[in-house]
Amino acid sequence: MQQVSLRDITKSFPHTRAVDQVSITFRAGEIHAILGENGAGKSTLMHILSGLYRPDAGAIFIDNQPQTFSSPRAALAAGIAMVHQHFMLVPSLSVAENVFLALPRRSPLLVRRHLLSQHIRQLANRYRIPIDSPDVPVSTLSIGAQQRVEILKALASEARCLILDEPTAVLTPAEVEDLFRTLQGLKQEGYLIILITHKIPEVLACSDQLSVLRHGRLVTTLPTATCTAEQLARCMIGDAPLPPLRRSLPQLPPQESSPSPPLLTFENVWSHPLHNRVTLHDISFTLQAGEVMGIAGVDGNGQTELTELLIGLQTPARGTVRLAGQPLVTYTPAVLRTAGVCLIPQDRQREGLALSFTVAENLLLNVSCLAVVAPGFWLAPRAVQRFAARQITRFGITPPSPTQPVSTLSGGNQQRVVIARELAYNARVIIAVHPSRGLDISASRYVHDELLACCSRGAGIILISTDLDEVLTLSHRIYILYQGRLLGPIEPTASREHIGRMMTGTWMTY
Amino acid sequence: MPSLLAVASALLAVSFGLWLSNTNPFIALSALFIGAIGDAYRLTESLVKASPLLYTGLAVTLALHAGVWNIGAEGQLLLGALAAVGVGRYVAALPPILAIPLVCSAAMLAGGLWAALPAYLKTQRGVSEVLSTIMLNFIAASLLSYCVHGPLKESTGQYPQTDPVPAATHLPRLLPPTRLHLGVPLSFLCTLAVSCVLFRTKAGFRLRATGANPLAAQLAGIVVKREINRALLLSGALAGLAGAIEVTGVTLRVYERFSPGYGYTAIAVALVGQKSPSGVLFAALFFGALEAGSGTMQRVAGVSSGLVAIIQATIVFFLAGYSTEAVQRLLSRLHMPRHNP
Repeated sequence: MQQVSLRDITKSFPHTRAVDQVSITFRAGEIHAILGENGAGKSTLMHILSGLYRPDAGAIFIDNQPQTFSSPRAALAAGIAMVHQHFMLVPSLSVAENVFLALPRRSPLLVRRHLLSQHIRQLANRYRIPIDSPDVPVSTLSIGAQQRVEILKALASEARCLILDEPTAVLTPAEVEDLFRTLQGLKQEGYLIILITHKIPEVLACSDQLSVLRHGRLVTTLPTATCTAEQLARCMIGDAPLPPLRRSLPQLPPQESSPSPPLLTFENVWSHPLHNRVTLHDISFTLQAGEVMGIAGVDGNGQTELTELLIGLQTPARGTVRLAGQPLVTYTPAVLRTAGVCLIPQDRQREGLALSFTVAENLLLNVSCLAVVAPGFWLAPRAVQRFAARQITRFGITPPSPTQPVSTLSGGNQQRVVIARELAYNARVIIAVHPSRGLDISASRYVHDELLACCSRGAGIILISTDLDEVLTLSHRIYILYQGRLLGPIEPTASREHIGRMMTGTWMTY
Repeated sequence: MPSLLAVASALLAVSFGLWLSNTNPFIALSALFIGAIGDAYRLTESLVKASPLLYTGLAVTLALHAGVWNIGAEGQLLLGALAAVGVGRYVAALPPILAIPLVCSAAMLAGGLWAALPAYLKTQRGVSEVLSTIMLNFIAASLLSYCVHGPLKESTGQYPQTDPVPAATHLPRLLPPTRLHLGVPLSFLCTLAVSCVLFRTKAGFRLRATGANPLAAQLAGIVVKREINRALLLSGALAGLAGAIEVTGVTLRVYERFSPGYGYTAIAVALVGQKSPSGVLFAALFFGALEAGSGTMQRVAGVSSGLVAIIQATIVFFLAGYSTEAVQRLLSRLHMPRHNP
């Protein structure tokens, strides 16, 4: 495979024209970034190339031979593999078994485990992709490691073109660097790498060519070396003015003068030790009204466990949790929700949305919203529609149709649905886990602004994110989660090196 | 949409089978059709046969919306019927306007209680409701058998059946001499009520959210276990009501083999209804019509009335096939042009 080209690709969905006459040529041995905002059509275009959708018009050429892909399997057979934003792994199967499923020539009956494991180790060594053991279940791996399994799957299937959909969305800075190193290695081996992203610095750092999409149309295709960040931002957003880069945090109310008790207090809280889970050790903190508390850390150091504890899915093994000064006796999501705790979860599809529900129904999937929109016994369709329409306009959810099934929305718009719901009513303590995962520049700034607006209205925010920039720009105080312990607090003005050392557990030598 | 396709495919497949066995499928199926809705009397018979399927089909659907499979509608129906007979004895002196609601409430209570055990086992002990509800069907059938042979055996002591329920509890016949009884329009009202509860109330929303994504529902502050309990209890009550309606409207007494498997057919009805109450209404009417027409088919075309069970089973098979992802994608492609004019 030397060259893959898309010619005049067009694809429409019931309410939108997602891709409109896009032509791009990709060459082997390059990293080609597809840049655009949420809903610009990046993912749709790549789903067409990877065989998931069929274009309404236009054609795909590989080495000038026209191709039609009836399924992702057909695209894979032609050498095109996609690493999706939501990984397509079987969680209960091992790394080796997941890779096995992607092998093009597998024996139909027998799985020769040791050969398979050996094959995977060889692949991993050859392309310098670090994996611990091919025999552990995928569900026990961190997100970064799961992504590496996806890449291994693509390599094992003998694809020559790898499409990665927002690959850096949930990686730590170190993991992002590893990923880019791997991609550079693959490029030198003659692979074609297509990177879907909306992060301009990453595009500048690692791509050779880039194409910018806006509202389904191709704006331009350029060699990366000739571009500047401002120029790309203008291409992506169009003529709309750029939101301000730096943000000023709302002033913290002076501690001693605030008469009300802190919103949330953890006093020496431990979590139950569970199999394959990080046990939280002796967590203590105090969240004041109007404060953003950032929790940074490398993924897999207790973020999931802390979130579950904060929303009441797990009960503490030891210690006291106080909400507005009152110790909590019953500890369930229902109690915490009613008391004004909100959650923007890490995995919106698994924890935040009912995918078979409409947008309007998902906007009610929170007992606080439900109580306001439907105070009595009945759920009046008119009240539901009115609430949905208002939130859709306020949070710019596209397509703006309350009756659309939420599963048909793009990832970024699904996230907007979750945020529109969580910040609607009774948000006193907001637990935001990766709130801008998969959002583009303007959308994630919008989310940050909304969070800070809640904050200046007196809500307290616990921001759990592996995106250090996000934590640094938004937080009044920063804690680091490392192996189930909460380190800190430290000031957001602390040096990145210092924070980096804390995140990796080498702060003690500091 | 997949349901209509499944019905059409099943009829085609069965016709092919009939043709292979040297029977003219047109004669057989048209006899079935005429037997079901050929004249006013037959039409009412179809409605009467559809009524228990509608109640139990709604019961299964309601539970399905909360993400639980109530395979135990049969047992709950039998318990409801027994309760109707048991309470019926004591309300003979009351006017029908009191006696009938009392009997029906007792049956709903009995059916609900029979579903309470699987609900408890599921939410407190993590036992799959599929297993516990199925097994309780057999216990219910044995209990009924014991009752009609023992404590509730008719006073003449001749057959293993109960005494007829007193006249005060008989559901009014709406169009004598047909057997069309009050339970039929009531079942339509029930469809409307279930639809209203599911889609127009907050409780229904919580219940559906539980079924759509239990984890997200729990994180949203919905007490998922409570919703599952409620769904199973309501489902059991509906199935129990089916038993009472059948006793007071049609059979007037309870005997062994009192239900020809309404609670099991209900699962097929719910599947064909695709989780929508109105869909269940049409499915129940269709299955009821098949049952009603089977006798005529046997007489006219010489085809065993058991063919109806084969048709029902074939529909479910096709439905399962059409629900797979691959076929779904094909179907959505087929009517894509409608969205893109």
